Amino acid sequence: MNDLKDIPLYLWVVLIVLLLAQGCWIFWDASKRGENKWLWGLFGLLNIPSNLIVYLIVTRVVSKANLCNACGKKVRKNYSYCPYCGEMQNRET
Amino acid sequence: MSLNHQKIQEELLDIYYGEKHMTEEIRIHLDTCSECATYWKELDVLKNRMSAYDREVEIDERIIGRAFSKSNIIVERKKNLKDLLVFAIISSLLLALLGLLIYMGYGKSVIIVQIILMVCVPLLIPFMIRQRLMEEEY
Repeated sequence: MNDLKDIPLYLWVVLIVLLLAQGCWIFWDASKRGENKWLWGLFGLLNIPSNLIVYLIVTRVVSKANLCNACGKKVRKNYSYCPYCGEMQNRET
Repeated sequence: MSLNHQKIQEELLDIYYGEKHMTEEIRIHLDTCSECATYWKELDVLKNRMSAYDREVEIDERIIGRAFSKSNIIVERKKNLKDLLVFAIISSLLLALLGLLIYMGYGKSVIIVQIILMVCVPLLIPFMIRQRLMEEEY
């Protein structure tokens, strides 16, 4: 561990820049997917790359449900129609 | 056009829109005045033509709902962009603080914390997935 002092400054800079880039990307992706963007963004700042992997696994395995335009009930993202009212779901979101 | 004709034609317009009733005085005037009679006939023709277009317009609430949801998406995108900027500033400050800690000689502690997080955070995946499954009613 004493070798840590020999770590050049540019490696620290690279680490910090990567953390910033990772945090911003997670924040942006979480906001697009309707997740808690602030929580996920700060989570992304903590560690690289395990937090990114955790984020990708958690959000992709169980995707957040959309709300139906007509009845307001939760509808899974891969559904084309609301199972409660039959309304076609907006795929742009 | 005399003032009397103008007044009568204004009255005729009110009658046309159903705001007034046809009086005997106006009826007599129409029989005697060709100008006002022509005006009244024109209004009558117009009424017949307009009645052809007078039908119920079907309002589709779903189209309105979709338009609103599209506008909401655009507004939300703009808000997300602003939030991203704020987040980038906040995280830059936080990481600058981290840089300061490293500069002050706490680099070893930072590396230890990073290693601990790298090992421990993936252990949380099953709990996080379970929590989301419960939240999203799967």
